[in-house]
Amino acid sequence: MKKWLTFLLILFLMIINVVGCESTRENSNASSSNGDTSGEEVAKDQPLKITMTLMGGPKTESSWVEKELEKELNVDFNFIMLPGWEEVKTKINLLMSDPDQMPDVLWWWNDMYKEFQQWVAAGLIVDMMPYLKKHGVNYLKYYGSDVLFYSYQDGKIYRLPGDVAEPSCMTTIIRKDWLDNLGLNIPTTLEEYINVLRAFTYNDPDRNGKDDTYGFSGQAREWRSFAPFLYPFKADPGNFVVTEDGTVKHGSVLPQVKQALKVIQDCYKEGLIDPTILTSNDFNEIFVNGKFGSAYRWILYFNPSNNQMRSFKANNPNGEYIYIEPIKGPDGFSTDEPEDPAGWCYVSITKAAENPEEVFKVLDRLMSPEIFKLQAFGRENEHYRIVDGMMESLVSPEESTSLGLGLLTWISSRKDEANIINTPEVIELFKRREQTSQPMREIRVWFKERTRPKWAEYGADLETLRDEIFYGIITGELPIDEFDRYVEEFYARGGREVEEEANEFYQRQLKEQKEFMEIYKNELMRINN
Amino acid sequence: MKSLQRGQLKIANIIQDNGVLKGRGNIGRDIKRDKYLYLLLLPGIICLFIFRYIPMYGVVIAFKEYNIFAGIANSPWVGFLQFERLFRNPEFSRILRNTILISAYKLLWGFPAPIILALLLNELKNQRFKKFTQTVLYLPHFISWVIFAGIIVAFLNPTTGVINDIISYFGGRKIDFLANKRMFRSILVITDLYKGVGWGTIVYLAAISNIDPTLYEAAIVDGANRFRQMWHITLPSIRSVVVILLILSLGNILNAGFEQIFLLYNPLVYEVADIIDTFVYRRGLVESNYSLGAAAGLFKNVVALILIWSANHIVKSFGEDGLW
Repeated sequence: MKKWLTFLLILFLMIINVVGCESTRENSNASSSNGDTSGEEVAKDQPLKITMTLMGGPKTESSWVEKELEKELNVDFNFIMLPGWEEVKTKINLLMSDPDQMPDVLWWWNDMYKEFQQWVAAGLIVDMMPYLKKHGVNYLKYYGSDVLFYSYQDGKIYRLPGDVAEPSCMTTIIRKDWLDNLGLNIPTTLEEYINVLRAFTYNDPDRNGKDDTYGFSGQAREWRSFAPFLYPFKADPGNFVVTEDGTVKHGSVLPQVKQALKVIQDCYKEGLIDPTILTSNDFNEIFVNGKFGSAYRWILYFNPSNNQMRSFKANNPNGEYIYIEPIKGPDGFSTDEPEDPAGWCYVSITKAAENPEEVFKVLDRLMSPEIFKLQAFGRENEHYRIVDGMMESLVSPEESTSLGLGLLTWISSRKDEANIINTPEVIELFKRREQTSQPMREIRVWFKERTRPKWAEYGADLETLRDEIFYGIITGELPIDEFDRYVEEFYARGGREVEEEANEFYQRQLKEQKEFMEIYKNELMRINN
Repeated sequence: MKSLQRGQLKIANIIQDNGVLKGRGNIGRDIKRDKYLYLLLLPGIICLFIFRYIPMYGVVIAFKEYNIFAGIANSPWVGFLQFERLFRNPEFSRILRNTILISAYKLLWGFPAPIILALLLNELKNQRFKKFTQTVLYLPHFISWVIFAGIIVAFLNPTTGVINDIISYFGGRKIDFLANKRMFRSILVITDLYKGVGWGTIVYLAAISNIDPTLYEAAIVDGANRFRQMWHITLPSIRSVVVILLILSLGNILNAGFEQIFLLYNPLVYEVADIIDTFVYRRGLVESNYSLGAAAGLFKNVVALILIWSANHIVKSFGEDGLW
């Protein structure tokens, strides 16, 4: 009896193994048959077969959204759901190295820029410029020339943005109820701001009798968390900037950084700043706890549907955050944080696409406001409704996942009015911040070319040096004059070559930009006539 | 009494060797006699060969500028460039020093701890309590460093952390532990110990349970108390296990625990906590520099090999059984 039992068990296990192999072989057969339809003209009523990789969104198989899109666009989608962040680079590399598995539309992101250039060099990526000129109505209407410039390469367009941040998506936030409790006005200058922080730290603004509040906090280890102290001085230690004489320098070596660091050092000494901002923290948790008075963070907090804001209100029923204009420095200068105009992730059409022009047309339609809303939010009055200009969801988060809402997140995304999850007030705030961040946008340099040899060689070490010395200054362990030693060390350890290279690339980029603007005005914008 | 015990020990050791005297019989006869045992061993050896020995040729990327698309064969050869990048870096002496110091501290405290704990566990009379304690002690080993680091950060939080609450309750001033250069290495050692000590006792407990109880009985008859029993019977019996594990730990000395340090460190403590692996990681972020990682790995492995070989040699010259 026992012998038969063990024999059956072994047989069962073997069958499971074999069945597992079968199903993966079937999958690869299916995807290879997609690429095998050689040279056929796609008949008008035959749905176009498109294999696409998906990374953002709920990654739901055979969802309602997929079926709706297939109906609307007359397409037969085969979505390849990419794995988590740990394995996705390997997976994408695998897909691209096997002609049978290469998807028609590939999603990839900034970290894979090097690999992308290798694919281009190997001829695996299709140039979309001719299609953009003929069919790119929605793309050209939504993305301006400064965004599209980053996709431009030697007269060709090999990638289009999959997700671009709003031009500015952060703002200074402050506790309104604390200001009221202490009878303070909204601060506008740096001096006023520091006084408010001092009151927040020491005058028990939440009236609970305990000394448990901080004036200022922020997400750990990000320089932009210190924006309300840095930007009044036009200091930008994390990026390359263009100086008054037109040369590009690394922001961390400019003298105004020393001024800003002194201010931060003094505030830290007084105890106004949450020390975890230098070590490690989960800012979402800190936000929800509500024990700090001001920070520099997301505009999206001000959507009533925002999860962090809802948790904060649940924890602090009397608490209220407001957004304020950027703090002015001693010269009256102020700016908000501009976002990288390039997308952080892209879509490319590969050699595997039998009919790249048709595939491009589908991608362009996916960018249209109507299809975007359908894919991201569902049908009006069925999955959501608009009340007083604000969107109210009619489905639970689980339902929303199983329907596949947001399936094409990071493939086609819009941040304008079509993104109805934002209230009109938030949309206004986005527009306002786009303006207030213009001063920094004018001097910050975003390189199109992500692999620059000297930066690759020295960059990581220079950033380590900067962080070690600057953080040491802030905590008071190092005196402020260590900044001068930092500047010396920076140039001694490769900073000189890095800046020379930066200037080279910047000049080249300016030229390319002129070239691109010609094409943009004369050929691409013709599409709107 | 002492000579009797030592004699008993020698016999016990020989019995533990399964009575096969070394150096006799040819290998063909051994295989034929134990052919099913070797057959059982075969899949494991094949696996080891295919997945560990054959891929070793990949170490050649340490001498190349590895281009993931060109593949290993077509990537350009650069000789010792990657190693130069590593060794010539102004921070190299710092990261080497940190690596060795942190490993040494972890070895100094973390090696005896499981042994002592195993000895203590062995002394427990109540079997249920012993099993319960063992299970509880093993648990931290299974929690990933990511989660454990989150717990540590929360505990050590300079304002809301439990440790600081206790300190301020007793009237002290709150400390920002993770930003403190003097305390950071200690935090690394203590938390690593906490996580690993329970798991480490397993091997020792297994070795201790193999000791012939009649030795203890003879000792008790001779009037030995618990401590003397431990000193004269338990410890010498597990000596070979201790020595082998010590040699293996020495081989690990350039791996100071990347995951733990990476999750807990910050620029304020780079000076004491930056190790070879965290340095290579930061360099790799900018440029997917697999070759640099391979070079660092090769360097660490060569050092480990030298250390293990020397330690084994020294140990054998003292008459002990080495690793080989």
